Amino acid sequence: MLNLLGEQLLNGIVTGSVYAIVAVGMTMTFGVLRVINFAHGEYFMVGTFASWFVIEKFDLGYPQSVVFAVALTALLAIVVGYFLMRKMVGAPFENGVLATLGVSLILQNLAVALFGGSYKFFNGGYIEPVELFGYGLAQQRILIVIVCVLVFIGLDLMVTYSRMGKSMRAVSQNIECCEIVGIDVQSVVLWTFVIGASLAGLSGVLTAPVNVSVYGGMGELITFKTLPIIIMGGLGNVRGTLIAAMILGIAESFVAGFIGLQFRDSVGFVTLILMLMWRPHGLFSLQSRF
Amino acid sequence: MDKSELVISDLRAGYGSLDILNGIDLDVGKGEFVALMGPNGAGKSTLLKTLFGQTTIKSGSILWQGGNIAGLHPREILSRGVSYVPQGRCNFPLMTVDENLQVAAFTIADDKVLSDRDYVYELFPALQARRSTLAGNMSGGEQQLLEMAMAVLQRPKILLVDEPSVGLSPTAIGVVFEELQRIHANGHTILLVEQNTKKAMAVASRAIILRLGKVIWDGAPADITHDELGELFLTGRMAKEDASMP
Repeated sequence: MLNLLGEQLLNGIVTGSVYAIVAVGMTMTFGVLRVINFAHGEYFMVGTFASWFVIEKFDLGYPQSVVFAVALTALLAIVVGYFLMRKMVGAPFENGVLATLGVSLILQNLAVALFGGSYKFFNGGYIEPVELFGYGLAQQRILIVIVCVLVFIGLDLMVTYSRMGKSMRAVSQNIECCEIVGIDVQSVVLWTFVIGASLAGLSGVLTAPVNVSVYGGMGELITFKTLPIIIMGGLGNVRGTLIAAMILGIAESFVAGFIGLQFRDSVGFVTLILMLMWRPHGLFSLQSRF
Repeated sequence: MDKSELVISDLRAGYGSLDILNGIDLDVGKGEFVALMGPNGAGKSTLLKTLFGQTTIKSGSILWQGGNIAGLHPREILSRGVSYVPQGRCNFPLMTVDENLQVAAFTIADDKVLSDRDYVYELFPALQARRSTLAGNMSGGEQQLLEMAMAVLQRPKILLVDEPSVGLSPTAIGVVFEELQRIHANGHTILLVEQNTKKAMAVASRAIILRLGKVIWDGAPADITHDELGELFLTGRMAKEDASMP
């Protein structure tokens, strides 16, 4: 029993790390733009597809495919960000919902049109098990947790000390005032979105060796897992997102292990409802935003 | 006083189809401290917003140091040395005073920021002690000082200040006006919109009165009494002018 408990906890931390890397991009985009990006999971899908494609067609190694996947996702995000996301500054809330849902449909169907609707097998990554605290764990899962820790340390440093990070905080705290001090809000929105989408792509390609299946609709589920996380974490809050993602990852893992796998995907929204009954403003309110 | 740096001619502007400024003609010389006054709805704040590129301009021109800045983007206007301190709170509440100043200085070169911040702390000693405090945790008066400091850090050639006394205690208002005088003494041109006419007249070198979107009086504060000012606000004319009229 104790053995199973530890194993589920480790699994939960790995799942939480995946969610955290995806969700942080969505929460940062919300922070500067006040738009829920319903297409966020699609960048996770694009990253996975890009990596799968170059491994299958060009026989590239997994590390090279990661670089390619993140670069391609970033490029796509620059295009979408330039022509769409930055134009959402000051637009009514529903514009953001419709536009990002539209992007989501386009990207999903583009993947199906280009590569077919069937499930693909992802053949890459480091799936050899290693022993950790007495549990067997695939190397890839350890890699995911390490990357998650590095991403969050990097983001924290960026948001606290860099010019870009300070501009992001400025836009999220008082967008009207940014014009007065000369911050280019559209440019901040564009680059925040590109960082966020690239992280989603990175998360996708990191998870692919563990999930092994690649398909056009895979991003949708990720978007809907991300939503409760960013709400629990306090919209726009980077550190809160990490903790909320871990809570959800571990809760899912325990439900899957002890109650039943079929209930796993409902955990996010059930946890969200319970948490909102207890703390309507999210687990972490304004004080530690960004 | 040098020759006019800012020349506004027949300026008509407002919000969308609504016109607030109905033909403003105004010159401001280098180093002047101008107080813009007038009743509610006269277009004082709109004039400052228009100078900073935040309204719709219908016609007229705003010549700033020889170039027309009418209709330019605020960032472009800022880079030409025009800084604006709007009415109400305009800072980043969850950043420290120091961080607010850093963000405000993004328009100037990065390596200059450090020395310029020291200059601003000398000019605003009250902020020096609060440099690690979150802006949102400070009093209204301190936040107003911070916002003026943010504008001064941009090394403006002219400072547009909108109603700095709103919502402040009498003591805080005193400090804010002292600070404005100090900024002016350091060589900045100031265009101040203020409801507190007594305070404004005491510090300004020139007073301009707006009513219904036009300039109706322009002169030295010493040349107008408070009663006359009140009359201008209410009727748009002065009694002695009426008496002298045929």
